[in-house]
Amino acid sequence: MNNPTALLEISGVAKAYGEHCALSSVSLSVCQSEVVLLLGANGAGKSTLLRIMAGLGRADRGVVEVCREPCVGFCSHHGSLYAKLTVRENIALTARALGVLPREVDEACSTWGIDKYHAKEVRELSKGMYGRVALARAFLGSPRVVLLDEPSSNLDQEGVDILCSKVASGGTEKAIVIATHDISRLQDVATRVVVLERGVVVADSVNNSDRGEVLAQYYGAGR
Amino acid sequence: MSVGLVLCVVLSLVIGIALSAPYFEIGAVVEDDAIESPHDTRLLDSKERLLRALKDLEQDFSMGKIDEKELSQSRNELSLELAEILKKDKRS
Repeated sequence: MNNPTALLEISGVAKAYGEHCALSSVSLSVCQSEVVLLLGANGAGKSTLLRIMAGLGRADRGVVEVCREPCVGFCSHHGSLYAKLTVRENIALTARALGVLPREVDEACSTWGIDKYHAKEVRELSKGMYGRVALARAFLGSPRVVLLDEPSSNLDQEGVDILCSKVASGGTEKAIVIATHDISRLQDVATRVVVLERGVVVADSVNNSDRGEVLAQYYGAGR
Repeated sequence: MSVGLVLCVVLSLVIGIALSAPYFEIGAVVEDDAIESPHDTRLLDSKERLLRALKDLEQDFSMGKIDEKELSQSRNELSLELAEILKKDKRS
């Protein structure tokens, strides 16, 4: 990577689906200790960009470099849990795939306040609890790069508080990118704001101005 | 019934149970303490992620978030990745 402190660097990334251009020459470098809010309207390309960063989609053009050691934490907006497995089994399955010790599964359940539901099948959970399980799984294995797609959309305020404290506790170790519409509940935890419009980065608080100014300009929010 | 037939039935049952056991012990399998080698865990992790991503795509499509073109293109890409992983897995 060009920037020695970067954990994630993409350059000139483009992606099209047939005639539809989802991303057009997107470049972004995210360093350790940065928490980036990736904003934009539906269809702006946020999910496509996150999927490419997570290695779950191929860019048509451009370079994608992501620190994949020990792993990349990713949570899609659906959560994608196995409906007929219990909460604990869902997390333990990922733990096993990552070579993580079972005691970390217990710690994750306790951190996210889902320990009392550990034996419940996830199809029986409320949307909020389902979201917590999906997020617990994304942070498993101490990933240095964490990519979250609309993580707060189904969370209650307590869930959002846990998410914010988990993100904040990443400290200098992690680079976190959060695609969201939930600016009001997540802006305090962000160190940087990037705005996508029709597959193009139109604002980045690192380059243009401070976070509050970008939010005010595009969303009439922020401080 | 001859003793031979009984033995044959019992043996078939034991083999059947042994072969199907993994399909009924998801909990036990995922709770296993044994840690795989880093190579194995990486393949397992990639496989799991790709399968989840395929599931996401279907959901995106059913919710109208993506059109048929995006669904089929993305599904092809993910399937190719998955095939690569399965090939590596077979080799290891």
